[in-house]
Amino acid sequence: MELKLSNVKETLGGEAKLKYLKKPIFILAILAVLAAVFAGGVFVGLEKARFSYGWRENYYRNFIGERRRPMMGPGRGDDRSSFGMMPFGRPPFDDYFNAHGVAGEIISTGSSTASTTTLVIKDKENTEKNILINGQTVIKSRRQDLKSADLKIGEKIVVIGAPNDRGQIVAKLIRVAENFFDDLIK
Amino acid sequence: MDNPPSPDLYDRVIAKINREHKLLLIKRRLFLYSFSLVASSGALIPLGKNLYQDLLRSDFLEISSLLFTDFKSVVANLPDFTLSALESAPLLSITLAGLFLVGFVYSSAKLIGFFISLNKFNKNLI
Repeated sequence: MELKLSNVKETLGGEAKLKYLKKPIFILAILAVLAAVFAGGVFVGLEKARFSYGWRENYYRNFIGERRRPMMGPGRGDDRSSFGMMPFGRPPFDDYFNAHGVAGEIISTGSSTASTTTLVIKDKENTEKNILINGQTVIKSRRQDLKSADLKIGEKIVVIGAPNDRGQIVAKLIRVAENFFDDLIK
Repeated sequence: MDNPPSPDLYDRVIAKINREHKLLLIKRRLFLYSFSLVASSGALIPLGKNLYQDLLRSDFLEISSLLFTDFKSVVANLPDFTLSALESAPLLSITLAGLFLVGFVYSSAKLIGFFISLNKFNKNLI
């Protein structure tokens, strides 16, 4: 080990020159960390934007149904008023949603195919999210494993998953949450 | 009649000037770090409240609680868990509160160091 260190010092021009290199190396390391953090932020932002776009584009299909068209008539607010009255209100067009996880209350259950179940949950900002449960989804309540049919309307759940291009979250883990954090707020 | 100056007068004068200069520097730094301590502690209170409110409003606490309840499942889905935690974390509040906390701790450490050096300086004078 000592031999290798002395080789490094010789290559860099001796111990005196090594002292001058410490500051630039430190600055480069800080810049590399900042660049990595920035890249991480861009990646997370893109994921949120992609999911939010899919959520808005597929809003009617996910929450109202493909066959029903938006009714004409006065709606809530401004330039989107031609969409008419919606069961869950006008979708927020200026928000970005978390794409890989959500915590909220189940407001609707249903099944789209034989192998998948969809849930609609209302998150803390009263925005509806579509959760897709398939054969790989792990559902837990306390220490028990549950099936999708065991989930009831009104239950509070925490979901971890991956977004699809239809603005849905394909759940990988669902935990039926206790009211711990509600008690904290109260 | 003439009183010649003592041979060490020059050294004593220079030593006195140096001591006064050091004392002035210590006082200036004491003032600077005291101000920084008061400012950072004053800012920490509203920032801490803001951080608490943001954490409750976001899903971060619920998602991070999964680490304790479903550790194996979280590890099996680590990329999705990490992304969901990053997406839900109120990063701006955390960063601001963290920065001011670091400032508070740094100012406190510097002030303690300066009080110790001031104490030593006074003892040297005596």
